[in-house]
Amino acid sequence: MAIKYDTLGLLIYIALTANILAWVAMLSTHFPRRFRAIRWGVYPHVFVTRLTKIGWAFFALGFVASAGGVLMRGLSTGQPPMRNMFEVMMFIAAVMFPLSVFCRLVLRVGSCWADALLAAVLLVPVGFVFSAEVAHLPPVLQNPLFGPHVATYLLAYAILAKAAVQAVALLRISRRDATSQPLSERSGELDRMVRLGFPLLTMGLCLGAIWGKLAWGDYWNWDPKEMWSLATWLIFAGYFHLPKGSRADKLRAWVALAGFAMTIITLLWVNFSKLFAGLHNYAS
Amino acid sequence: MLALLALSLAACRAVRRDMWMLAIHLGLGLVIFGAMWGSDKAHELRSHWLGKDKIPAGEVSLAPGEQARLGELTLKLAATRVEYYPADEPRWQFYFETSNPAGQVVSRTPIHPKPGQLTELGDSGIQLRLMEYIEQNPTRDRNGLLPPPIVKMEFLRGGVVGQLAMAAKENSRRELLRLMLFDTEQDWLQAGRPTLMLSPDQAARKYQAELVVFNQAGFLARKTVEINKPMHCGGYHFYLAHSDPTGREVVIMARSDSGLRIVYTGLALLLAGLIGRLWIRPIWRKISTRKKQEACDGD
Repeated sequence: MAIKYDTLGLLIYIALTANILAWVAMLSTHFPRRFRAIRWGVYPHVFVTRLTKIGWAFFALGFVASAGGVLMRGLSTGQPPMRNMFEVMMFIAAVMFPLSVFCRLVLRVGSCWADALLAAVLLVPVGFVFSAEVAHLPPVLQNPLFGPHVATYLLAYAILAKAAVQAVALLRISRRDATSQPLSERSGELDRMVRLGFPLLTMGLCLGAIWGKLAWGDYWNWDPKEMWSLATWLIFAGYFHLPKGSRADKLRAWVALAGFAMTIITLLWVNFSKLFAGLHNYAS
Repeated sequence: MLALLALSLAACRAVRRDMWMLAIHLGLGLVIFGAMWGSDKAHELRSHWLGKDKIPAGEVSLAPGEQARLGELTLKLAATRVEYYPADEPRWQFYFETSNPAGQVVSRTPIHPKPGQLTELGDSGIQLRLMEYIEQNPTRDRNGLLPPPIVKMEFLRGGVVGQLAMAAKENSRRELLRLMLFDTEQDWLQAGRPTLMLSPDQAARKYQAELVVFNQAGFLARKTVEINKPMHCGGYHFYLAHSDPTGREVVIMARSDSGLRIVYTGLALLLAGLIGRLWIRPIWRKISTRKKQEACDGD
């Protein structure tokens, strides 16, 4: 247990609490209408609207606190705050709010409660498990590509996590009714999320290859992290090669979920397991 | 994979007709082709069939002032430099090293001798007694390093006793250890090249090596290489692959540049194709649909 008693810790705990409250407020708007009517009387829609607004307000507060934490960490260390798992998870948690707003307004993709939940889940180990000790940037990480390479990957992972939420929703709907309107809507939402995330995943891979050539002399070193990230990339590349249409919706959802499972392995398992020791073990 | 991509280009009309799809598949094909062109096997085949004498990769271990041949080029290490992160408590640390006959370090153990007491140096049979430890002027340099202390030591090995005073910048005492305790160089080599080092115990911020490259015609290039900042000349990239903590010995690695431009072109095409297909095209379609809708509404 590594509880933080400094300003950074305070920001992390504010962000964590705000994201949990945002999740609770947003999720409660998803309760069945009948249940809401019993609780709040004859004007449930008023409360639902208010709860949604309160949820967004907490989510925004969580963003301000976690983004402040990321900024503070970056300024105090003088390096991109993506050096270890503590910084990486704080970065993803901070990204969730703007990503959620972008997806809602531009891509018309919902499930914002899941974004608040994901941010909260990521902030739990940041606040209580990982040490906030500052580690020096070794010479091999001192490259202008360090920030863009890691940031694009983290952004892609956050987007693909959101795609996985859409995939689960799609599978849930498809169990009830295989030809409904919500099913095609969910399928479209999943598609838009994967379309947004895949170029970023590719960008991360390409930037990594260029950096690998500069630092190690090779674009590709058959390192465990590289192999798992390639497996992730191939799975999402496979997603785009699946046939279109409602019949393949379920299959696409399963492929997106498999891809997300790969991102978890690439990000977490490879860093924490001694089984996959390699060139990318800076973050562990 | 390359064959699969070629097949998809040839067989699938959708891929050929769509500019972005073509870019994606062509880019991926170029990346794979470029990597194959730069592979060891491709170098071997070109050397066999075209008589091109270019090595795919190689590395040399150099100390400042030394030079070595690498393929058709000669490398000279002019100087090295190590920068350290400032530390709250900068200190110097004794290390005992053993190496194999090729000069590669086999073991590197930190030792903590206490004044007056005998300390075993690994399994070498050598004992060290710290006689005097004098801190120098406590002014830190720009890296936050204190100057190394002056250390007076006594070594014992099988009845042979040698005394040594280690002072500033004297990081390696290989020869002195050998002369003091071993009759011949062969004995010293057989004992595993026992070496005592006094190194700064701080995280390194930067390793630098000033490298001079010569070809058969003479001087070719001179540059300071760092980790992440290789030198590019004569169809090769030269990397600072490894440096010991004090910079007294570095490993320079060379990698052939064959296929480099093909791979970079492929990566650019792949990325441009994906961004065009998955981001730009939907936006463009949306804008055109909206324009058409507005035109219809106007009519």
